[in-house]
Amino acid sequence: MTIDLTALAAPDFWIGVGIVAGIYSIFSLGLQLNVGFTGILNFGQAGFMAVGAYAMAILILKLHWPAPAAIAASTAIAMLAGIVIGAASLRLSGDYLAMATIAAAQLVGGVAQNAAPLTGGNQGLLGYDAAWAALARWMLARLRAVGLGDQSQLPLFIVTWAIFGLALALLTGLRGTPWGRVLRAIREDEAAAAALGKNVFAYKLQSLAIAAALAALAGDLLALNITLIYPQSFSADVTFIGFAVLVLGGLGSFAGVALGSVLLWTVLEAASFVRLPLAADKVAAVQMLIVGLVLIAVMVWRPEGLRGKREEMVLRG
Amino acid sequence: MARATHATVLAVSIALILGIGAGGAIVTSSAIAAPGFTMTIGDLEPYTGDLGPLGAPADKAVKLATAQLNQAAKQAGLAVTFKMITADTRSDPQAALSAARQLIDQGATCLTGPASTPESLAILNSVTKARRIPMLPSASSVKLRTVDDGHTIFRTVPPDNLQARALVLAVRQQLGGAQGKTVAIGYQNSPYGEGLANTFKQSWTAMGGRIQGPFGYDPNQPSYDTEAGKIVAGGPDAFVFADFPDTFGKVSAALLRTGKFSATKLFVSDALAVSPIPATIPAAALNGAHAVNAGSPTGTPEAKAFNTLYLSAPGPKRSALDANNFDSGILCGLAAIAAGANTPSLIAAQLPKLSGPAGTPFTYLQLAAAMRALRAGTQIHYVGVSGPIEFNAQGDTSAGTYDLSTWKNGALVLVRQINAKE
Amino acid sequence: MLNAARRGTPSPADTRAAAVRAARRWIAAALAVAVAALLASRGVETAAQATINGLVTGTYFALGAVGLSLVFGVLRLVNFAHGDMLTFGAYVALLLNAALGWPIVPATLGGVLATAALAAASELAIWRPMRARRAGGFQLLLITVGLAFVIRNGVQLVAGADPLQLRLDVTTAVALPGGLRIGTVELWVVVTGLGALLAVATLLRYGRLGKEMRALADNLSLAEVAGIDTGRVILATWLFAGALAGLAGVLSSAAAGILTPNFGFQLLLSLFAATILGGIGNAYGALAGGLLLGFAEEWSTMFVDARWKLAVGFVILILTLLVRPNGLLGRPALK
Repeated sequence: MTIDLTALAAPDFWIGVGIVAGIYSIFSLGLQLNVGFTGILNFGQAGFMAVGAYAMAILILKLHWPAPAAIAASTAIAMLAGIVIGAASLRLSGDYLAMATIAAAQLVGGVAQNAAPLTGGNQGLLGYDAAWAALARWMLARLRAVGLGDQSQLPLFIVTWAIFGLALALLTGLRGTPWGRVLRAIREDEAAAAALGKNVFAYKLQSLAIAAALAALAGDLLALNITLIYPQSFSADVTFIGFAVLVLGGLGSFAGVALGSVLLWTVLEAASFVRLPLAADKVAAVQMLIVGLVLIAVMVWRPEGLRGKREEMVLRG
Repeated sequence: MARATHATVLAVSIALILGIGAGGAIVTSSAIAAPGFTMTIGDLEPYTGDLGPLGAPADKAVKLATAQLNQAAKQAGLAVTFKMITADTRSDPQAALSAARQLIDQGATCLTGPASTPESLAILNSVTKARRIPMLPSASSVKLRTVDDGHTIFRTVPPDNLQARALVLAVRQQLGGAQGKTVAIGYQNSPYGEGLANTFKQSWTAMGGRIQGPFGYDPNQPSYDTEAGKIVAGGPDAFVFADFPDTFGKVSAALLRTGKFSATKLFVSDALAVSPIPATIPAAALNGAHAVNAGSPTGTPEAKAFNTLYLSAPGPKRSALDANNFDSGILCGLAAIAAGANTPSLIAAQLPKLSGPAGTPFTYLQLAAAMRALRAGTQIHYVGVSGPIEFNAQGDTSAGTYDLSTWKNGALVLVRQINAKE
Repeated sequence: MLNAARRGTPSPADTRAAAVRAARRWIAAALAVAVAALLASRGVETAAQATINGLVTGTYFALGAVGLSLVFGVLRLVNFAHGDMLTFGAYVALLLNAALGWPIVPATLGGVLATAALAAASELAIWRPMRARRAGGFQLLLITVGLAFVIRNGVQLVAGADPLQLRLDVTTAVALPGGLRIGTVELWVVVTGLGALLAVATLLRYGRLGKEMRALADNLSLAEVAGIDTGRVILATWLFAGALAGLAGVLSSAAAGILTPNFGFQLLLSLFAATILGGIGNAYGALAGGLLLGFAEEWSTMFVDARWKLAVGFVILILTLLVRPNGLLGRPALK
């Protein structure tokens, strides 16, 4: 077993990891709001991500909307999807909600795959990133002035983490408001919150809609990163990796999500530098084995996450 | 990219200077004037995920190519060594992107693979186009040729439109015309299957033929009996399948169970054109069936030698596209020799020049001689194990020789060759 | 967790009996309408063949769903690793059959026993200690997700990602009257699978273990007070769930002919659907739910493109959750 660490020293590697980690941070912020702050087991986050990414691409490619409008609309459409799915399913208790949302996400995947005239089917959609490419070139020209011009992925890295920062600030701000306190009350004791005259259902719906919007933003960024979208990009594994990020960072901590995401993706990406004396398919199995072991280990030994508070773990569906 | 640009300028100057001298030098001692460098071929393959089964054979093919290149360089007295590094694309564009970055960071200057179009597009748009790093994917979709690749994508694998064209010709010949003949199409509901099925459908209906289906199915369905029933319903004149062996194994068992399926009416394309029939596909589903195989002449000396070479090395058995991946590896290496440097943009610029028909033909069996000729400034073209390689302006093979073969007793037997053109 | 689940499921006690009767009538009516529509619109033979195909897939679903349903019913645990337990059983049988040359029947038994052992091991190593620590539902759910990743990738680590197959001829079929056909192996799978299911369902319905399981499902602490050895009953539940998952894995992969490491996980959502459809914690229910789902998916192919077949399963899962979370056949008492 040897380890080739030369790539670890390259800024390129860290920018690449940083983009993916940033996308998953935004994605998991939504999960944090749902799971950590409202007590909603949203297992369909990848579905909202798909709705957002496809909405953006379709608006740009088929309706020729300008990119900023398409991105704004994609988050609105994902929120709408969140409201529709939430309105139907949020009265279900924890486990049932998990099943309903994951099935809804799979359904979104099925539509993406089989409604070819709209979604491009298996071939997916391509060519929606012209405006982004122009912006990236403009940013690169500015970066060149400070000697960072040859990192072609740096603009996306900056934009991704800027969006995460904004979302983080917004959610942290909301936490202290009466709205945020009601959410927490719901998570801790739904019946008590209802008894205080709070419309628990409406609050849960808002929480899910915001999470869906965050998933949509993550989806848009993912679409810009891989430059094409097709159904397999939004499999259920995306949601599960999001949950691994969430529990690593700790329930109830918005900033912790970023820590969890960077940590998990560094481990996942760096794991491919470990040259095990194994066939490659088996090496990749080791990688996903790590995700599973992280989930189990954290939940068994440190359920509050790496820097979360233990009392956050008492979650009633 | 300030440092890289300097390096490029330097490399070009060295190459030019040495190139001028090389013609004379080679006569006396070829080693004297040759610039020494180590070239790194980056092999991107899906070792896991849906395309997982394609990874190991492709990996082995590129490994063999690297070994051949090193051996030839030594014989030719060149101070050039070749290294191959590999990374898993996990059949996923996001992972493919990370894998590509990883290989490039480790010094890869020419990429073989990845195996699918989504992965290739992600890598192209995010990494290789901007840095002019050549990539030789084994994905065959037509979509890949229509994108603006800045002349960095080259394919030893013929695109699906040629494949579909060859399939159409084969079916038409077998049925004695297309007019009014019904072909039932089944395909794996994936980018590859859907793309090829639709391209075939268009060509066949354009010739006046009729289509039953196309019937898509998911690789992960618990059973395929209903789909099989629909495909054989009404007794179509021929069956065409666009699928990979793992799913087709399940589908073909269901086809046989209908009792209305006849292998002699079945036509399949490259991904399924495997010989001998793998254990995962019932032999009765393929014995007597016809395969249209992407330019893989079995009779040529290089193809026979490659077969021996491949089978004598440890690892997986022969499978679809292994010869094409081998050729991709060899082309990367020859282009680096032609460029005289381990610089991606120079290698990319040399790749089209290695394609036929201009120049002296060389196969991999004369690799050392080909290297010497390149160093001498002679124009050569590489004749692949998978057939002649002639890149068009899009870096695609614009015409292909296809083998129409039939499975007899579990192995493919060549019937005749089909020339498919755009 | 116990509280959580209880609060989420409605049905006050006094309406339970009425709800069950209503459910039965509702199903009967829906079935009758559906079958009538099928026969009227697409021809008897096509409908009959689709029904046979539905019986085959339905058997896979039912077999896979029983264990899921038992664990969900008794322990309130939605086991996301259940699909991968199917994979595990199938690969053990494959190892014994293809690599070690055992005949198919002992190899199947080996797969069943190994999966039962795996399930029991997970109870002893994870679930029992976690219960003792009063772990939250979210915690347990994510452990099952982690376990799913570990089992699936563990299998891939040992066996590789390449598809493999049992030593069975899956290409032959039995001709039935009226031009209908069913695969020979499929027929064996349906007979064995449904037989095993009925046996287990009857055992649990009338046997002492079944009664104890229902007591636990109703109220764990009350069952404890009543002198039931809850640890033993829960272990038995896992053994049953594992054995049935192993059997489901071997039988469905045997009939399909080919096996890859992600096959069980791909089946998981269908198993959820069958479980919910039949009502949780109820072996008869899982049987009915699985078959109903199989029929629905195959019948749907007569009206929409078969590519939507899997989506039909997801729609059924969502609709059942929304309309009747206790399942069409669910005993509301088993919450």
